[in-house]
Amino acid sequence: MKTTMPTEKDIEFVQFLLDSTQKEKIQWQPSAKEGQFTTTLQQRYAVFMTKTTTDLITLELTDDPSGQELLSVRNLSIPQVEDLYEFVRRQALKVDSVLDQIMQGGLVITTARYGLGDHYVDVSQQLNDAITDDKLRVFVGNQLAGDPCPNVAKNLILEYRFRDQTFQRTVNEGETLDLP
Amino acid sequence: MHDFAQRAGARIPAMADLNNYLPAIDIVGAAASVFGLGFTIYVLCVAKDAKRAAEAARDAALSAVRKRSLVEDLGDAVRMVEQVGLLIQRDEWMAIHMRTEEIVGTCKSAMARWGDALDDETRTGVMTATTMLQTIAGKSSEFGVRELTPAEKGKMVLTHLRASGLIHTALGEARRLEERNENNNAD
Repeated sequence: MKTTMPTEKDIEFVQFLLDSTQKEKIQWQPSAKEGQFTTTLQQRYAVFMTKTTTDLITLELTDDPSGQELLSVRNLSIPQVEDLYEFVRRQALKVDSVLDQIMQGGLVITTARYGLGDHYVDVSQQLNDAITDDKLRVFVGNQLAGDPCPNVAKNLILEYRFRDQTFQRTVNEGETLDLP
Repeated sequence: MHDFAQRAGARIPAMADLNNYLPAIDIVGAAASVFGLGFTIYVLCVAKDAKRAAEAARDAALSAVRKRSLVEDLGDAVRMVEQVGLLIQRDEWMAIHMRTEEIVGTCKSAMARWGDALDDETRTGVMTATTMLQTIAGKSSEFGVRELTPAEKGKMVLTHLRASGLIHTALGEARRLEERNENNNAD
């Protein structure tokens, strides 16, 4: 879609997104593409915010059922898009929570393997993402990252840091991991 | 002819005797009419109640089917999402592409058919998860022709994890609704 001069409505829409993001009325999520975040409005419209390697930021609105692109604006035409991207990025990556975790020497999973013997999957990222307020409570099962060896009882072997100390734990499949 | 006249003549006094019973017959007839009317009203009432009960049973059955189907569809989506997690670990991009497209289809169809049973926030979450999974599908088709960087894989794992969380939340809510529905039916 060719980007044209933004209309008053476009600017109003960017401001709406900015306000809603700051008030956490909209929940942004990361996408698999580098520098891209997404959310859904009114259970129908998908919004993408993408930052390229050349620092060009694009805001796109698409009609989800048809995939038709409805709007595409850039930070060059609407400066608020840059502020919006920063708020979106911080919310989607839980930056404030991570900063708190670092400053307070909070709970961090350093390694976590789910499986048995040589058949395992690395679930450290999953577990770190599930930490809330320095606590982790998660059911140990295939929902973590699929079943690395079917029809066999597996376990979760993890190493974590909490208040500058390192700990190790092994939890069997079907049990609940509760940290710290 | 003579015999017939004789027999008919013999009957005439008997029919006259019947006149003595007419008031009693009237009373019995009136009572039967009243009873018939009452019975008709009773039948109508019973039929009305039966219709109402049948409608309630049909609504309950439809509602149960609706919730169960939502749970089943989201359960299928969750199982496929779990498989995608493992496929990402194994770099099986073609399979990831196919599975994620399947999940997107399942989720969208479930939301279109039965989504109104869920919270607005949960539905929005599922729709966002489908968008996230589509970006995984798009990205995975790139990796068929080139090696992915650790950062790209990390981004994919994070996206999968968040999408999985959103669909799990919806499944949890759908199960809760189903249980509540079953409890209400049991009461």
